[in-house]
Amino acid sequence: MDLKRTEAKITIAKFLELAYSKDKGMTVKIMAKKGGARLTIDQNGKATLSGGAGIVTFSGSPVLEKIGAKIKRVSVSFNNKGGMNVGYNATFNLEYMKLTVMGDFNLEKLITSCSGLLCRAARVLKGRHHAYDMELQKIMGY
Amino acid sequence: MSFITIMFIAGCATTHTASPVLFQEYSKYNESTNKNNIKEVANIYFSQSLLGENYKTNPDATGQLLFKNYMVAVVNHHEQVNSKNGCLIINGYDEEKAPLIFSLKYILNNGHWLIDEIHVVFIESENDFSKKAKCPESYIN
Repeated sequence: MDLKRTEAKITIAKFLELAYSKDKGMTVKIMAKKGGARLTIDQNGKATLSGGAGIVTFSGSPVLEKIGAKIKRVSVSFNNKGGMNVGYNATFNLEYMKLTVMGDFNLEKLITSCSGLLCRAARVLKGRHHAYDMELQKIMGY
Repeated sequence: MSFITIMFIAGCATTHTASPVLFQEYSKYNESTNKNNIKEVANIYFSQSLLGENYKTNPDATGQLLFKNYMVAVVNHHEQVNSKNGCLIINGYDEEKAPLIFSLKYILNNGHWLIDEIHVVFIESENDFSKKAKCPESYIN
């Protein structure tokens, strides 16, 4: 087996973290706007987060490289149901199969986790912090 | 509308669900494959278009062709077939007892049913188990 449920969910959070680090203001505007938004990442790591509020492009390669399997494409649809509650449905196109994971998360918690001490500590360590991954896992709904 | 026309339309729309041929094929795959033989027997269970040219040397092939390992318990299954292809849904649980669905497209090739598309769907609750046969494209977001 390759990508697992929990790893897939954490991966979505990490893509959002990359978008947030590229353009905090626009990322929050897109995600906080009620309605749909979309995130796509191609096999070269080119990532686009788009929604009614605008668009953010960034490199998803740092996250893609951490996944064990080769990814051909990731496509995530977000649905902000109002307030900070965001539903998501993500499909990972792998070499021989597709994998879909879904759930919802609290946008405020996700943003706080990435600007808080835990996130900064993880960055200082230049790697991923197990506690941070656990935090993301909880936020992403599993 | 003539009787013949009605019968023709009905024939095109018919799906066969009485005999679980696809689940039988899946069961053979499930029982016969493992990490040591999957690349050798892959062409018995998977279509050429799914496997591509270099699956025997691709490091991702073994894990993904053994997608069956995602599911440790089967709850139920649904399928529909026509003369050329078919779709199989398997509802079940993973090793963490969380629900998931396999949605598989099969094609008929020289009398053999081969898996042509694999979609593993991690769902949030048993309420999301599929109650009927669906093809993998149904789950693309």
